[in-house]
Amino acid sequence: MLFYCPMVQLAGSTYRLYDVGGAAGVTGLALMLMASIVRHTVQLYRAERLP
Amino acid sequence: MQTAIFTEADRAQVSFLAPLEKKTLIWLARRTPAWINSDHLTTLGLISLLGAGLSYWYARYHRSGLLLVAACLALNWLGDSLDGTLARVRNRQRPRYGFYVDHIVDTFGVLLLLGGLAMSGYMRAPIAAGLLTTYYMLSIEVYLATYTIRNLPSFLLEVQPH
Repeated sequence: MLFYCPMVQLAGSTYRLYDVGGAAGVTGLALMLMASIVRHTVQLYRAERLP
Repeated sequence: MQTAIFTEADRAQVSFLAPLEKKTLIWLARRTPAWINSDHLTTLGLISLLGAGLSYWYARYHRSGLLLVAACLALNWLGDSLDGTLARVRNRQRPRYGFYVDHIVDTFGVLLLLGGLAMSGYMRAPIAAGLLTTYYMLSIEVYLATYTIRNLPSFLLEVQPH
């Protein structure tokens, strides 16, 4: 795909294929990061409650 | 050097291809010549990511660089995936060394790959930088969670870090 057509049409605009993939990657990683932080913070907060 | 007991964290292999990959790696490990050890494969993994980064950069000037990227990524899979399997098949595990080196190699490998991608013209540099930063932040989160959650008493482990 990248070899033959490195550009994509999205909502009437033209973007680089890897820009779209990269933006999707950043979004996915950021969501995983936030979910993981919330989950582990809650887990550790419950494990070590203030007296 | 202090040799405290090291407990390996559990690995969560959730990809639907993981069972097939595992069988393939064991098959390859049993046929790997004795003169090749896991350090050679780890080095192959890092060098192939350097090659992938340079190939992306080369692709800026000639599209054939993209084919070189694919070849380098295949070599990276071989080196990065087979090193641990080879150590396990030969019963030559080094849990702390392996854990540390594997993740340091990944850290530099991602930098090399995304650095090349940023210079390729196929992805804008700010997006590559964003990907790199988010990947590093997620890595930090995983390492901290692995350290803190693994050190909690087992009855508090509702969910393993992953």
